[in-house]
Amino acid sequence: MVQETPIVQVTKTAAEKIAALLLSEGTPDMALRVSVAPGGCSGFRYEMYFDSDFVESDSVTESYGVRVAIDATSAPLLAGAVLDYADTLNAAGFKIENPNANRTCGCQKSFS
Amino acid sequence: MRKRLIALACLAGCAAQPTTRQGLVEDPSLARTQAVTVLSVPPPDFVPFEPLDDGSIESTSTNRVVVELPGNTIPLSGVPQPVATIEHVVVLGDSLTVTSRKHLQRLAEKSGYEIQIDAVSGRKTSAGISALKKLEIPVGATVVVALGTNDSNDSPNYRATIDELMASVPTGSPVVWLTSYRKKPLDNLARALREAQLYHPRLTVADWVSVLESHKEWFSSDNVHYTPAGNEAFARFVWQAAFIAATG
Repeated sequence: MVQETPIVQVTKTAAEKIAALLLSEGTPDMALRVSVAPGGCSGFRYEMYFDSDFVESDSVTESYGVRVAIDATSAPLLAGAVLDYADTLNAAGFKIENPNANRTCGCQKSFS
Repeated sequence: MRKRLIALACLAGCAAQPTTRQGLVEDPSLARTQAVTVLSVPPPDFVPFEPLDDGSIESTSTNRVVVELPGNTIPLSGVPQPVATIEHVVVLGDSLTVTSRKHLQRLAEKSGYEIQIDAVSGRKTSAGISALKKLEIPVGATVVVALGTNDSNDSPNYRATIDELMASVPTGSPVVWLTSYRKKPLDNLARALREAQLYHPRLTVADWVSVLESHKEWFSSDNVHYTPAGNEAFARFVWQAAFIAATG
């Protein structure tokens, strides 16, 4: 199930943070699942959580020793996205740069 | 098994309106104390979108969102350690490392790291130190110590053992030492390791025992060695701890 070509690129910095979270949770065996779920008034939003339940259609890739799982429905919406982590004076956290998301609705909670 | 929701992200516009969901709160002030996820709010002059004629919004090049996660808390205790200067990891182990070797090698290779595994079944920590002294460890490499399972929990000399091992590792190399379990947690080793962090700043203790205690299914019938799933989990733990130490 582990594939060679990642749908979402994970930077080294993000992988380090994910590894720290996995250790914090005491779940070194889990993967970070990134998915796109219906949200907002008409679009989608991202979800990220640790998961160890995979199905055959999932894409599971590995970057710097941390696994990322993406379901088949989310895959086309996440193709080419980059997951990074930044820690700046303004904010600290994960960032997703997704080339597939270029419009949002007025509520600013969803994208298409 | 699905672990709690750790992050919820959407495009930048969402950041100004945190969404409440399982495990999330709206009050940013609660984020750190309750270790939950909160979408961070961009600065006031942050204009990520431009309105279009139809009322929708076109994102700019800043097609990103910042999601704050509970970080800075990992079961790697100790003061800030030196950051490894090269991408090279040395693992010193016993039979538990022997049976996890292939996983460790794969994780390191796929990450672009050199890995040097020196593991022998039945090895005690003292024998591991002897082996360590013979290894050619590149300066700046990260050294992982996965020993202790074959030691007596009543050893009065843990401090001397730890001191000797630390002295055998090149200056500037971070050391990650796993807590150990042999039918029960080796508490004396864990205690000695935590005390040792006070005078060995580059020592990090990785609490593998706390993970094991939630996963008794990873033990094989002898309650010492691991099942195939346990071997892989052990390798992932070792690798993740080493990777964090190696990247700082």
